[in-house]
Amino acid sequence: MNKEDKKKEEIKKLVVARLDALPPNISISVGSEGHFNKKELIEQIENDTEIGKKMVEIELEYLRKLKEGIFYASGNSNY
Amino acid sequence: MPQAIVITRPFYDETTSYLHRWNLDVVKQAKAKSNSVADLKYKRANRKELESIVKKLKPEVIILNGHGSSDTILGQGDEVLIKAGKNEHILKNSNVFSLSCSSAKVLGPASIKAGAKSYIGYKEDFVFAYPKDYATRAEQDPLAKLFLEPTTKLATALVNGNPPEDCHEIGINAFLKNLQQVLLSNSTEEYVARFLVWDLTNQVYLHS
Repeated sequence: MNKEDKKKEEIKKLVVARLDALPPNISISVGSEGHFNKKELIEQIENDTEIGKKMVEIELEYLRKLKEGIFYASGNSNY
Repeated sequence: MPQAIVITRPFYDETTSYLHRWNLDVVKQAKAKSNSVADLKYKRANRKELESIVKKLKPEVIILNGHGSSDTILGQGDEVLIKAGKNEHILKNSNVFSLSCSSAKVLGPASIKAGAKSYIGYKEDFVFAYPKDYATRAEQDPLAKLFLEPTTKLATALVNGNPPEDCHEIGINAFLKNLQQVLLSNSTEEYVARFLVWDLTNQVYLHS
């Protein structure tokens, strides 16, 4: 495994760990892709599917926006 | 105040059932504001009927709920209602809000090019969370409310005749308020914050 792949695997592990906080009875609707519970989302990430990649993208975007200060934004149409 | 309003509300799976039910208040508000409201629900959310009613009413506001993709919005049973390059011209002269996945990526710009006054939508999948036990009473679901209250406020502001740019802001601010609510109040719903951020960052306002 090269450095890039190792980094991707670490990010996937981080996202899986964070998604583990989802209660088991919650469904996540991802548009036309369908709806998924926690177990299914984690499987998607581990299997590197499009939905799994989307979940990683959502998590990274969340962390990025928190860092940028979205929490303090109000009336800001740039978001 | 809009002279005519058209709303599509398909209902055939869990996602569309949520959008359908949460838009009932938008329909009620639209009917209170205009005598010319077409609520295309269930089987009426089909392309033939939409094209016909838009041609007849020439609506100032069109609200589209349902599944979609970057260039398409779907109606009942996944029937294509509007597709970029095919019939986006039917949105000409209208202010459009599309609560469907990714349509602001291709269909939104194509609609503006075809003469739509404005287009508010999402560049990526619209994501929301809901507990399984609320599936049959979606309108009472406090978790889905975090996502669908902002979109309902946006749509209501549009049918009330507010400028589309303001409606976009109303939606964004409602998302931000709910985000702060789940992060600040020791809420057990903190896990949905990532999805709220996703939706609000992907909501866009396009105009000519």
